[in-house]
Amino acid sequence: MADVSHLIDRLSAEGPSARRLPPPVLRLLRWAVLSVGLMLLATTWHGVRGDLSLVVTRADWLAEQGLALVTALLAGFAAISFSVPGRRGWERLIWLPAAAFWMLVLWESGHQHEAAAHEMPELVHLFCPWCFPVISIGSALFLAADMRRAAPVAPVRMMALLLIAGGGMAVFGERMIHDDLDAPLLVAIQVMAIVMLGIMLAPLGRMLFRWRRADRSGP
Amino acid sequence: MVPLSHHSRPSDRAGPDGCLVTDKDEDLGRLLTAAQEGDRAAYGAFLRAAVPVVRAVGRGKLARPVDLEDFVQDTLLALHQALPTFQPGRPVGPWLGTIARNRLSDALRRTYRRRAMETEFDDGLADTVPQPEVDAPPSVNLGPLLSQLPERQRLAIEMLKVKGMSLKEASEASGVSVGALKVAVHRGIAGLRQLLRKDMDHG
Repeated sequence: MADVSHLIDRLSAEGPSARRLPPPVLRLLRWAVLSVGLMLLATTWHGVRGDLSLVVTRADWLAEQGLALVTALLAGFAAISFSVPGRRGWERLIWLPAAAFWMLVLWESGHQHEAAAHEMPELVHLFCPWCFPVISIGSALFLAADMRRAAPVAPVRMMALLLIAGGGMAVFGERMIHDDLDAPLLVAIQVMAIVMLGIMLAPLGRMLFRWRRADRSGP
Repeated sequence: MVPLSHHSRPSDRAGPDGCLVTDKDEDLGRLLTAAQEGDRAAYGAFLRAAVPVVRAVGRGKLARPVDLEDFVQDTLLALHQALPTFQPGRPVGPWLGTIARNRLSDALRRTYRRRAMETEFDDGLADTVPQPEVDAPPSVNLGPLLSQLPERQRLAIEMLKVKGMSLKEASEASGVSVGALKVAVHRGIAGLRQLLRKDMDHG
C-alpha cells in the first residue's frame, strides 16, 4: 500500500485531470441545444407535422408539449446535479412535480377529448421507429458523455434520470414531427414505458459511471 | 449539506445555500480554485488539508487501520477525478463530504463482503470433529536395543524420550550440558534406527 503523502505528491505533480466543468445550468443548456439539433436532424427525413400551425393554437397541446420539454429538461438537470457532489437536494427532485403535472394534464386532456384519447394507432406504432430512437438515444448519449466527465456519486440514479430525460426529449420532438401520436393515452403509455425502461436499465449506470481505479503507487 | 467543521466560530457565516461557511472552508475553496487553474502547489496543499477531514469521516466506521488508510487513498483519488466539478464560490465542505461519504459506503461494502468470506478460526473446532482412526504402530520392545547403545546415548534417550523430562531437567539430573544431551539423543535415535533395521532383517 502506497503512503498517503506519496500519493498526494504524485497527484499534485500530475496536476488537475481535466478543465473545470461549466455550472450545471450551462451544461444543461448545451445538452438541450444538442438535443434540439437531433430533432432538426429527424425533421430532415420526416419534415415537420402538417398541422403544426393549427395545433400551436391549442392550449392543451401547448401545455402537454411544454410540460414534456420541462420534464425532460428538469430530469436532465437532476441527472447533471447528481454528477456534481454537494448540490442541493431539491435540484434532484425538481423533475418529479413537473412529471406529475404533465400526467395530470394528459389525464385532463383524455377526459375532455374522450374520443381522441382512445384514438390509438396500431400497437406497433406506439413510437416512430426512426425519430424516437434517434432523439432519445442520441440525447441520452450526449448527456451520458457530459456526465462521465463529472463525479459518479450516484451512478444508478444518474442512469435512470438520463434515460428519462432522453425519453422526454424524444416524446417532445416526436410530436413536433408526427400528427398521429397525439392521443393522451398513447402519450401516457409512452411515458410509462420510458419510466419503466429507466428503472430497469438504471443498474447499468454502475458500469457507465465509475470512479477510476488508478495505480496508487504511481510509476 | 454537511459543513466542513462542526465547530462554528464568530467568523463563520451562512453561505449562498444556507450552509455554514467557515474560514477554513474559504481557504480550502481558494486552494481548490487555484488547483483547478493549474497551481500544483495549491493542489498539494488542498489534498494535505483534506486528509484529516476524510480520515474523520472514516474513523469509527472502519475498524482496521489498513482499511482506513485504504479509504483515505481511495477518496484522494476520487477527489482527483471529481476536481473539475467544483464550482468556485461554492462551499467545499458539502463537496468534499459527499465524495468522502460515497467512497466510505464503497469501503464499508468491501469490508462487509470480506467479513462474509472470512471467519475467525476456532481452536476448539477440531475437538468437536471426529478424527479418523490411526493404525497403531507395531509394538517393538526397544529395551534390548537400548541396552546396545553407548551409555551416554541410552541415558539421554531414557530421560528425554521415555521419562519425558525436559532438556533442562535432564541436564540437571545427569550433569551433562543441554547441547551435549541434544547430540546424544540425535545419535542415539540414529543408532536405534540402524539396530532396528538389522533386527528386522535377521528375522
